[in-house]
Amino acid sequence: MKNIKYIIKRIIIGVGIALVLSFLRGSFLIGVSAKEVSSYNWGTNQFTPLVSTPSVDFTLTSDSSLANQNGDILFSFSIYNNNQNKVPIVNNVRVYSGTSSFVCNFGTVNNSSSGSYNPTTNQTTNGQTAISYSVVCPVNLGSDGLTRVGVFFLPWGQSSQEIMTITFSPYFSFIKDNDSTQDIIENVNDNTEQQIESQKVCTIYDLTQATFISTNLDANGLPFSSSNFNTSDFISISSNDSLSSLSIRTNNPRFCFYNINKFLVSCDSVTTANSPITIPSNASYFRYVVSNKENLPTYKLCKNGNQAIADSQQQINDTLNDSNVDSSSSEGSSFFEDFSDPHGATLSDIISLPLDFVNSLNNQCQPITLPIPHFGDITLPCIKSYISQFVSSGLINLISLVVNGFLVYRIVSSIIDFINQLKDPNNDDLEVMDL
Amino acid sequence: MINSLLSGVFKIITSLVNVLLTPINLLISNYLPELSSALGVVRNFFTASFTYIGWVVDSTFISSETISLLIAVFTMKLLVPLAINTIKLAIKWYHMLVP
Repeated sequence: MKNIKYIIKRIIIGVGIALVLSFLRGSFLIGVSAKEVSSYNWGTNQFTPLVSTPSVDFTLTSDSSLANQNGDILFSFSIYNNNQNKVPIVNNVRVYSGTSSFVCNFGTVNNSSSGSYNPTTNQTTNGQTAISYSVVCPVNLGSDGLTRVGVFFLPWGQSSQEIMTITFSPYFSFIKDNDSTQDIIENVNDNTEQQIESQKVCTIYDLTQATFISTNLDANGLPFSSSNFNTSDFISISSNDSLSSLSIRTNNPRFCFYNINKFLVSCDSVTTANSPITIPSNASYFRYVVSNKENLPTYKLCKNGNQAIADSQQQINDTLNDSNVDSSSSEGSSFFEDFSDPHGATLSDIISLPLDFVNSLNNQCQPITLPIPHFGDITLPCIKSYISQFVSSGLINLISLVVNGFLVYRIVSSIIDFINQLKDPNNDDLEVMDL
Repeated sequence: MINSLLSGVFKIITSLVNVLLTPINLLISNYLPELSSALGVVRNFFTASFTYIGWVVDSTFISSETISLLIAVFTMKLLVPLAINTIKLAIKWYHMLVP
């Protein structure tokens, strides 16, 4: 009972500490937030007006709390016609603060029958279903706050009156402009991004170290003779990159471009050193094809800064996500080679024997060969594989289940005993050698 | 995977033990060669014995998962007291330093 009380007490203390840390973390996050984002309710979110004029206004019932606020209002709404396969097209949207109005910017329109398009450039009056609009409105609200939303339509000409339904998403967001410090930071970031974008990051590839996969035709059907060689790697490339050969060799080098599925797009022979190679617009990879791998050129690939950074990050991600550990054992063991003791048996060999024992538990079963004088060698096969020749696998599994179950039970019991030893913080009697 | 990690941990511990005992090891191997031979006999005996552990484990029908659990528990039992004692030592030093 005492132990249970102690554990409960510790849990309560732990939860309390976690709550305090969460609160502090949240406070810090709010403290460093660049912009304040708030959500507001429209109140009524669905309107069914009779439209006889190409505009309709919606008076809002709330949001005087936004008085004298500067920022961006974000909201979305959908329009569909009740009785015809025609949807009125919005020309523009305005939000009002008293008599002041602010024109909103459209996001992408999603029409389930026509896909995504921008309503300001590609509008149609024959939509089969509702059209959804996402709107961003930069505003400098006055003392009245947000009072009205006006939706102005293109005249559709076939009917002067249409019954339609406009459904506003229940909430809109207001992103409050922060102080000018954030604007300065954003400007600095924008300028930095532009500089990175304008900078070219070039890599010079020296194919003298390249490996080759085949002397035959390319796996994707390259129309070259068997004397051509393909470098083994597909190198990612885009039409925004620049590619040039730094030298001309006599082995008829060619750049071959592939699409995203690594199917051949085209090949381009190198005729002039340092001249740019035309990259097809749909090229995603390229390889260098030569007819003589003993006489290889070098070439230069330049990407813009952002793309180079993205490629580098992708390469790091690929490395981090690579779960192949086939070579890790040999590579890891090589690290410890210099630590081996070359001076014969020493004290450390004896001290580390328990660890060697535990480590040897993972050894695979090997048949034991015992040399018996005057009798020859006796080989003891691995019991499990030997018995499996005579006994059904079900019985072996049953025996294995019983043995492992008993052993695991003892292990778990020992864990509980071990934890019980740790329950008293005032007890220093932790005997490692007794464990 | 877990076995590889545990093997790596054991190798690190063994290497650390080697580093810490380097002066004593050099003393034994250079100035007490008889003692080194005696230790070598003990080491060789156990090393030879350990080569049969795989056969013994196979004969007991113990699965590799259970062995991994056993090794993990053993590792935990070694590391947890070490970590606790380290924290206690750090706290003790802190109390010594605080006036």
